Amino acid sequence: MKVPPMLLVAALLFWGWQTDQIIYGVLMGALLEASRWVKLRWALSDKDFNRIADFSSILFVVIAIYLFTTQSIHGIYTILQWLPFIFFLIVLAQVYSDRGKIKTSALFISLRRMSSARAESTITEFDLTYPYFFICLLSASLGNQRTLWFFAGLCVLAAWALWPVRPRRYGLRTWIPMLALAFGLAYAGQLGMQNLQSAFEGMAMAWMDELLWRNRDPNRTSTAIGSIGRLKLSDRIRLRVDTKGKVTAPLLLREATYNTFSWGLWSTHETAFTIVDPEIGGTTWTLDRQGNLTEQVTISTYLKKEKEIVPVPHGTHQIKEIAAVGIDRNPYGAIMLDMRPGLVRYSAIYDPETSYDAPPTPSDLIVPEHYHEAIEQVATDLELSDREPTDAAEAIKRFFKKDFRYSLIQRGRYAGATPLTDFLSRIRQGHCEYFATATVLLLRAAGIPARYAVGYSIHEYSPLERQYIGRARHAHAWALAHINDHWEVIDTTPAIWAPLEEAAAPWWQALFDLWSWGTYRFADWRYSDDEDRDSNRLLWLLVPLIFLLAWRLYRRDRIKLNGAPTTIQAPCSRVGEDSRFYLLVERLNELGFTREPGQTLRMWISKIEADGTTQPIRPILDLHYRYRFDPKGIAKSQKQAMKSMVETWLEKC
Amino acid sequence: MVRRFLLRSFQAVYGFSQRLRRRCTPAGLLVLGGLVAAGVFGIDTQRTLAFQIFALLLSVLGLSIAMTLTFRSHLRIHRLLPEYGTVDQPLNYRVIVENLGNHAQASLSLIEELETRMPRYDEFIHSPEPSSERRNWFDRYVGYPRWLALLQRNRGAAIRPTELDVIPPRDSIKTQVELTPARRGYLQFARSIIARPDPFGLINAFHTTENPQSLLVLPKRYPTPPIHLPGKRTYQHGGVSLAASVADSQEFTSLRDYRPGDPLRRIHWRSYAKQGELIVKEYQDEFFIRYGLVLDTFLQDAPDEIFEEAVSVAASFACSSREKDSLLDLLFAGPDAYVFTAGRGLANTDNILEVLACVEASRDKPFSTLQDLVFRRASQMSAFICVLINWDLERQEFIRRLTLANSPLLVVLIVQPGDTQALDPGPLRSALDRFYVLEAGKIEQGLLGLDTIGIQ
Repeated sequence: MKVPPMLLVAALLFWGWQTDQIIYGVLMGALLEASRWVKLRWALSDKDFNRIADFSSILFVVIAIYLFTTQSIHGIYTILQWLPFIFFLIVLAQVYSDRGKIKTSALFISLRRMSSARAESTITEFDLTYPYFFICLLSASLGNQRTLWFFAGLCVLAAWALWPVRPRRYGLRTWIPMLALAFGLAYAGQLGMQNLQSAFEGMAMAWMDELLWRNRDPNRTSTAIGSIGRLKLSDRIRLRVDTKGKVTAPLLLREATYNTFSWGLWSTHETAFTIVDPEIGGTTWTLDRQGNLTEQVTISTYLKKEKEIVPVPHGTHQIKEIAAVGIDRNPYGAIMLDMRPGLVRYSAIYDPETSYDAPPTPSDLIVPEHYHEAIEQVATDLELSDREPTDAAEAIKRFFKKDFRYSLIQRGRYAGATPLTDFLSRIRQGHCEYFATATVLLLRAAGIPARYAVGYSIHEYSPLERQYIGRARHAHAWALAHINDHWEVIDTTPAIWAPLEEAAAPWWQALFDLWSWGTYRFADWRYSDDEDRDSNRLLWLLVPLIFLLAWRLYRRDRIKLNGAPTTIQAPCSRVGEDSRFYLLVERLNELGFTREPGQTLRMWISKIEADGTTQPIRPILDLHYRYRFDPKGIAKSQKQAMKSMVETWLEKC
Repeated sequence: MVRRFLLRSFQAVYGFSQRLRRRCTPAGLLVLGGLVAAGVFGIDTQRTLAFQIFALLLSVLGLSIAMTLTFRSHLRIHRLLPEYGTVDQPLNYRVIVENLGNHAQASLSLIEELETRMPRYDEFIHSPEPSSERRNWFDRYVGYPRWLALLQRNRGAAIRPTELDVIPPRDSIKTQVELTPARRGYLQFARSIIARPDPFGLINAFHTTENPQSLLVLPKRYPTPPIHLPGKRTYQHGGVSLAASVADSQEFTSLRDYRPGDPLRRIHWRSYAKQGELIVKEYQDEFFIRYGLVLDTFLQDAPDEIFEEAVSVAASFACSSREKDSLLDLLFAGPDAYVFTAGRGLANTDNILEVLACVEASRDKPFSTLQDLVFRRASQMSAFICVLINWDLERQEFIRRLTLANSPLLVVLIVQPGDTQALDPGPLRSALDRFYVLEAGKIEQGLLGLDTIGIQ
C-alpha cells in the first residue's frame, strides 16, 4: 500500500503550515518525494534499519526528557508536534532503500531476537509511508489553529489518501457522495464533541464547586491568575438573598479578606477567630455595638460542614434570626457559623458606609518585589503619589475603566513576565481576580492600605423566587481601601462582567433553576424550626396527593362515561332458570316470607312449612332442585308434574 | 488460577484480533489505529484539533460499517483439494466460485478458514515453545507467544486471503489458493468466506459458506543416503498374506496326505473324490526380507519438536529405496501398540505415510509397551531400524536385548539442538556404525553428512 504521489508532500506542508514550521515541511516533503524521480537506491540491510530505528528512538527519548524538564507536562504537546522530525529519518531510509519496506523487527527490539530464529518469510514487512502520513496529520492538529482551514485541509488530505485504496467495484457516483456524507457527519461530530466537552466540564466544575468552593479558607485563596484557557464556573445557585426590594447596584457579600499576595496566591497570617456572644434569646449576634441599623438582608445558603465561612455584606454589625450554636469572627471580617450542615438562613444588619474590620497594618502596604517595577510604572503614569487618597482611588478606577476589558479567556503565555504585569502592561484584559489584585497593589503603591476581598456579587433577581440569587459563577473579588479612617469597597472590574457571564449560561439553566428552587423549598421546610411554618409547609405535601386523587377520580369517571361493562356476562343462560318454582317464591315474598341472605332455599322452605300457614312445598322444591342441578335433568313428565303442583299450590295460597 | 485466567484472556484477545483482522482491510486497520490515537490526543478539544481527525475517521469508519449491511450476493463455492499435503511444502488447490446472481462481482477476496482448536490447559502448561529462550522474561512468564504457537500448530496452516477476478453474472471462476502446512495430520477446512470491501476499502462484508473438508498432511521427509541392511531372508509362517493378515499364499507346490490340524480349505476335493482319502494342497514356505521400523513415541518431558523430527526420520526411512520384495513393518505405540506392514502388494509407502501422519506422542504409557510388541515379532524380522527420541537406561536395555536376540539393528537417536556432545552409545559401543545421532532442526544436514547408513 504505497502512498500516491505528492500526498506526503501535501501532508508535510499541512503540518508545517499548522505548526509554523513550513520551511522544514517543504524540505522534508521535497526529500521524500524526490525518491520517485531519483533512481539511486541504497542496499540497506536489516541491521542498518535497526540502527536507524534505534537512533530515532534515542532521539525521541532525548527530546522527551529535554521537553519534560523545560516545559513539564505541556512538553508532550511539543513532542507530538515534532513527531514528523523524529520519524523522518527512518521513512527517508525506507523510500531510498532498494527494499522499499521495513521489517517490524526494526521497530521492536523484542522481535529482533526472534527474527533470527524464524524463517525469512514469516517476518512481516510493512510500508511506513501511510503511518507517517497519519503522524503528520496528528502533529498538525497540535498546532491548534482553530480555523475552518484545518478541517478543510484534513478533508482534502483524507480524500487524497482514500482514493488509491477505493475498490474498483464502486464508481465515482457512489464514492463521492459517500465521502461528502462522511465529511458532513465529521463536521457535525466535531462540533458536537466540542459542545459535549463544554457540557461535561460544566458538570465537573459544578461537582468540584460542590466539594471545594464552598469551603472558603480564611487563611488563603488561590486565584486563576496565570491560567490559560476559558475560566469556567458553575451556574449552580449558592445563595438566596432577600433584600426586601430591588437593589440598584450589585450587592457585594464578602466571605474573606486577605492582605498578602505572592505568585497568584492571596493569604493572611492573622486569622485568629474570636467567639461572638449571642444576645438573650440566642438568635441575635451583635458583631459591633456601635453599628447603626441602616440596611438588612436575609441570606439563605447551604453549609457543608458544621463550621463554615458564610458571606455577609460589607459593614455587617449584627446577625440575627439564626439558631446557631455559635458565631466566630476574625479581624478581617470573615464570619464563621457553627451550625448543623444544610440550609441556613440568617439576616445581616449592615451599614454600607462603614466597616468594622481591623485597622490597617504594615502588611496592607506591601507590594511584592516581583511586581514592584510594573506597579510603580503604572503608579508613576497615574501620578498616584501626588494625589489625595480619595483622588488616587478615583484615578485607579478611571484607569481600569478606560483601558481594560473583562474577559474569562486567557489565550497566550506570559513570556518573560508575570501574568499580572502582563495584564497591566500588555494584555489589559482578564477576570475579576486580575482587576482586584492589580487594584490592591496600585492602591498600596499610592500609599493607601488595601486588602483583597472575596465573596459574591449579587445582582441576578429571580422572579420565580422573588429574591436575588447568587450562583457559583457570581463569585467575585474586589479591593478594600482604607480611606478616611474606614475600609471602603473599590471594585474596578468592568460592570460588563455580569452580562458576559449571563450570556455564557446554557439553555437548560432554567430547568436547573427550577429544580434548585424545588430542593430549596424542601430544605426550607425540612430545616425550619417554626411549628406554624411547619404545619403550613406540610400542606404542600397535599398537592401531589390531591393530584393523585383527582387523577384516579378522573380515570374512574371516565370508565363510567365510556359505558364500558364492569363485568362480562356469560353468553349462555343458566340451566333451570325457567323453573316454575320461582313463581312460588314470588308468591311467598308477596305473603311476607322474605329469604334472608345466606339462607338456602331448603332452610327457608322448612322454616315456612314449620309455621303451618302454607301448603307443603318441599316436594316441589325437590323437583326444582333436580331440575336445577341434576346433570341429567328431569323427565318431561316430571317437569309437567312440577308445573301442575306449583299451579295447585298457587291456587290454594 | 492465574494461568487459567490467562488462558481465557488469550482466547478472548485472539478471537477479537482475528475478527478485527478479517473484517478490516490493511487500510481499515490503519484508520482504526489512527482513530484510537486521535481519540487519545483529542480528548481535550481545547488543546488540540485531534478531535477533528477523530470525528472524521469515526464517520468514515461508521459509514464503512454501515455499508457492510448492504452486501447481497448469490455465490456458490466449491473447493477441490489434493489427496495429500506435506509439512512445510507449499501446496495449491483450486476453488471454484460461481456467481448465481445477475450482476458481476468485482473486488472480492476469498478467505479460507481452518478449524482451530484452542490449546487446552494441560497442553498450554506442558508444551514448551521452540526458541523460547529468545523471548523476553515477560513473554516467557505470561506465555502468549507460546499459546499462539500452540494454536497455530493446532490449526495446521495459515491461508492468506486470495484476491478474486471479476465474476461475470451467471458464471464461475477458478482460483488457486496456496497454503503451507505447518504440521502433519488432518487439516480441517471449516468454511469459505467471500469478503467484499466497502466503498472506502476499509471494512469487509462477508458471504460465508460452511464448507467442511479435510486434507491429510504427511510428515516432512528428508533425503536419505542409501541404506544397507542385512538381506537375510526369514521364514514367514503363512506366507506373504499371513505375514500381515489372514489369507493364503499363491505358491502351490504339491499334494500330500491329510494330517490332523490341516485347515479344511486346503483339502483338495477332486483328489478326495478320486482316492477316497483326504488329500491336502501344500504351498511353498515363504522366505523374504522383512524390516521392522520402530518409532519411539514416548515423549515424556521432551519438546514436541523432537517427536516431530523422529516421525519425519521414520517417514524418510519408509520412503527410502530398499530391496525389492521386502516387507516393512512400522511398529509404534500410541493408545495401543500398533503394527503396520507394507510391501509386496500388501500396502504401499503412501499408506505408511498416512499412518505416520496421524501418529501421536504418548506421554502416559511406559516404554515397555513398545518393547513387548517388538520382541514378539523379533524372530520374523530381518533387521530393525529404531528411531528413538531418548537414550535413557530403559532404551539402552531395550537395544541391548535386541542385540542379544541377534537382530541386526540400526539406531537413529534424535536429540535436542546442542545435545550431541558426549553421548554414550551404551550397548552399541562396539558397533558405532549402527548408532546415529541427529540433532533436531539439523536432521537434513545430519543425514546428508552420511555417505551410507547401514550395517556393513
